[in-house]
Amino acid sequence: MESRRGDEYDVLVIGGGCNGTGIARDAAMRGLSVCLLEKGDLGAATTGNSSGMIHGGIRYLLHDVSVTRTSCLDSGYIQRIAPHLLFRIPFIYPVLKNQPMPRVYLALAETFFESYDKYQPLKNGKPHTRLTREEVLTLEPGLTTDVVAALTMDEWGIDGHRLCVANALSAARHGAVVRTHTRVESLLRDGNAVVGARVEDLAAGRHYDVRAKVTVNATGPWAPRVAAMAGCEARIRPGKGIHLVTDRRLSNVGIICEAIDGRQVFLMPHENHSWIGTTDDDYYGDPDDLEATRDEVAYLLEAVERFFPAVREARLISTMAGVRPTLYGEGVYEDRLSRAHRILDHAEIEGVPGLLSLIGGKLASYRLFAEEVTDLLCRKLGVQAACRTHREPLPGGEADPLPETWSERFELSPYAARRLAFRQGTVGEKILEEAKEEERQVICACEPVTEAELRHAIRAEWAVTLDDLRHRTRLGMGPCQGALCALRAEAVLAAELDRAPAEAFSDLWRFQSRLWRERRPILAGAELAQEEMRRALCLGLARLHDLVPPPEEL
Amino acid sequence: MASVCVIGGGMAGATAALAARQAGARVTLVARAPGATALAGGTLDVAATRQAWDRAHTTLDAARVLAADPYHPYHRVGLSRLEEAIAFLKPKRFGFDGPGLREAPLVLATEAGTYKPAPFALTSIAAGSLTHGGTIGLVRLGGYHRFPAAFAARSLPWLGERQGRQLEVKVLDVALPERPGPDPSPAEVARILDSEPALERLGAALRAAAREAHVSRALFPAVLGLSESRAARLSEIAGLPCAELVASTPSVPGVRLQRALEAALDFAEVERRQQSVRRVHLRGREVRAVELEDGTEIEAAAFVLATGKFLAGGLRRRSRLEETLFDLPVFYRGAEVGETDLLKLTAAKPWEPQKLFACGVRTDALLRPLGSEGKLLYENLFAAGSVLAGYDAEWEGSGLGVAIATGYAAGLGATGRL
Repeated sequence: MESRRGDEYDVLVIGGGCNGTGIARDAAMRGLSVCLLEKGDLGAATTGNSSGMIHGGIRYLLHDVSVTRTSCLDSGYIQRIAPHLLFRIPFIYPVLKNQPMPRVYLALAETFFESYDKYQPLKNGKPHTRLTREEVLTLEPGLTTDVVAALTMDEWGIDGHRLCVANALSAARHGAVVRTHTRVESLLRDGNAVVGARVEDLAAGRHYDVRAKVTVNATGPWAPRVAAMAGCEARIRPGKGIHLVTDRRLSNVGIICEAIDGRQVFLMPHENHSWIGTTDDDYYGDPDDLEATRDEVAYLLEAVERFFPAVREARLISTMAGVRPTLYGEGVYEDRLSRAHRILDHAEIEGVPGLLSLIGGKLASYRLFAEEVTDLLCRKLGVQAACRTHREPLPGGEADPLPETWSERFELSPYAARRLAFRQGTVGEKILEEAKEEERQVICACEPVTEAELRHAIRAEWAVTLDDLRHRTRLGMGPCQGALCALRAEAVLAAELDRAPAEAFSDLWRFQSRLWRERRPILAGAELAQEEMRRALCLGLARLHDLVPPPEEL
Repeated sequence: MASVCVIGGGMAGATAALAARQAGARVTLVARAPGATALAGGTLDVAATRQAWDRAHTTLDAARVLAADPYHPYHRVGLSRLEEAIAFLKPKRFGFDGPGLREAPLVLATEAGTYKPAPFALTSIAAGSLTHGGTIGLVRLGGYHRFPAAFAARSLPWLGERQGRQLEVKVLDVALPERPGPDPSPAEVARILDSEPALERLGAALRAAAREAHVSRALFPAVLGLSESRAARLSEIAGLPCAELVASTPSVPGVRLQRALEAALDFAEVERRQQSVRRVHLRGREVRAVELEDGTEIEAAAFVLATGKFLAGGLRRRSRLEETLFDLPVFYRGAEVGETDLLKLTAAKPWEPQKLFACGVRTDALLRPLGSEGKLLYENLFAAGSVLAGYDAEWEGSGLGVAIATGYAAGLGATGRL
């Protein structure tokens, strides 16, 4: 990894979200030399805080049919290359009795769903069905009894963090250099041209140059800032979206609810939880300083309550907040903005060669976006190579993992084995094979996550902080929110990285601090009891706040 | 004979019941389940704040810093009452040992690789005080994974150095005498070590490991026996002083403490009812009775509310912050909290004190809850422990100290002896 430092790469990709890692993979597979830089962790911003869906975008049928088609097509490809990372989410669209002329409305809605059916085969989805009131209440007893009928449709969920890691791993296997926790300070110039970046390794505090023929600005909501470093413009209309996370699955299927302003809001199962979201509001703040507000929380709960009354009794354990780098549009509501993507070639727009900025896009079409960008890169660099990212599996997706056999061979609970297979695919077996017996102990019981998986994430997946481990493995994302596992996981980090106690405790504080920020807007009910226990552990028993100075930058 | 009904079976409730019993009352204690006391790590925390500890030589000095705040329960009951309460309770009776409030505290290593001060700790934990010196062997029990021994072996000397304390710490690898299931809980391991033959095998293994590593003491995670600590017996077997660390959650020492409290209550002939209270019956400015889940009504001359905070269920938040049983108004210092946005009651950083956890019931000098206008609500209702406002127990490390001081005062108050 170190050997290329100071050399010139073909491509420098800035940003480790789905687009950045997708481009790094595609470009590396086509033989380009690639360096990928991420200032935080892979997938930790827009991608990791998205709805986690590789969906076809039924709602784009209304005003952007091409988005629906490309989304469905790519959803099919992603299932092929990363089958382990996807899970089916059947959705229901309930019609309530206070809907004016519910029967007519239902017939119209069904026509609309029928038009979506023709795209379903592209993504291995089932055609819609129509459920009677009795059928839908049997399927989902938590629904309001005001329901008169419902329609169903099929979508796919994905772990956005793992998708980014899988792409980055694949890129690295094809020779790309991947550096996380490395921030771009400025762009290097040669006359008008951009020829790389001056960067800072945030952990080591070291500064160095990365030179490249073409620099790709795939920084999502930060794209305007990075473009501005070269005096260029990448205009977006940043749209903040939040989700609420519950301690368990509230419903078996996704439920399409309607908010007070008519927007659709989902209550959907995601891995071990239900996610409620999302919001979509213009965001003028700092994308580095983001948290859910009480208004947003109330808006989502109001929306879901009408369809699923028990949501008020649900235990919320966390929130997620992200900013979409939506294409700029004026005079339209946030919700109606296009989800299409665009490549800005600053050579053509401002006469600044060597810099591309990416704006817009969505998780479901990241691969297609990356393909288009890489096509352009190849043209610019005079390389002829075809895209293979839709055919070649991502690491772990080469075959069906067999967690049933792992749990017997490695004395792991069947559930832990299944969860490992979900995150790691076939790689899970290697992780267990290479681990010592005591390393197969479960550290995070909520998810669950073994010590072996943590060690693998540190050795092979660029994890250097507890938060990185959370993104890689979902450690600390469960109901206890790291109360019982954070210290043990930090001990694993300290051992693997030979980390001094000062640094280890700082990392522990940063982790607690981040999770606290995500929980603060939703504190209520049983979560207060959990909070009291967490404080008893960190403060009352361990006296961490008395002994260890809090980290300075957070 | 006067009768007192105590609601809540943690340290505050138990102290109140014992104090009222001592004063001659007939006492019924209603508790639906163990609360925060059963999660205690094995220390009797009276005032463990860094701020207090730095300026203070003794625990009492540290408590004095806390008591300077007029809203603090220590201020309300007075520090002499705290000392009187501890003397009454006789911590030794519950397995505690230590120098007490008027000496420098014990300095105790924790399972988190940190350490803390305490005037008392369960004997097996007090024996491990870092004030003893010598080379410490931190025991890594093979098969038990919850205690990160290697991490603690690095962090303890580092933290010690920052406080001007030289510590030499090594890791001792000792296998458990019986193989527990995968990822055993502290209680599961402790149950194994309740058996004498198992302890003997552990002792033999420890002796060999300690001789090789040249350690003068062995510190174990707090799993040396469930019903009582077997550390002293293990020391005999191994020929080496053995002690336990302050426990994390879930805590075996917390279970031992809870059991000791219950035994003391039974011995004092306090009638214990393991049920939740369904509702309360009022008569004018008096509490007449509490009604249990099974419909039983318990009438008493006075009642003690010792239901804890959020963890034990004494306080909850729905649309507003409320006390669960009597719907008493909840205060932060002098102001009623009501529907205040929780964001305003929480600080941005988890290591800061949080107003939310210093919220609770406000009382008069006799610990009787006050209403919104600061007026006394019920002549015969007293409150004790973490249901009270005015202190952030975890941040300042005063949980059991406040529970004992206010439990004692409330118990006496309920019998008209205060």
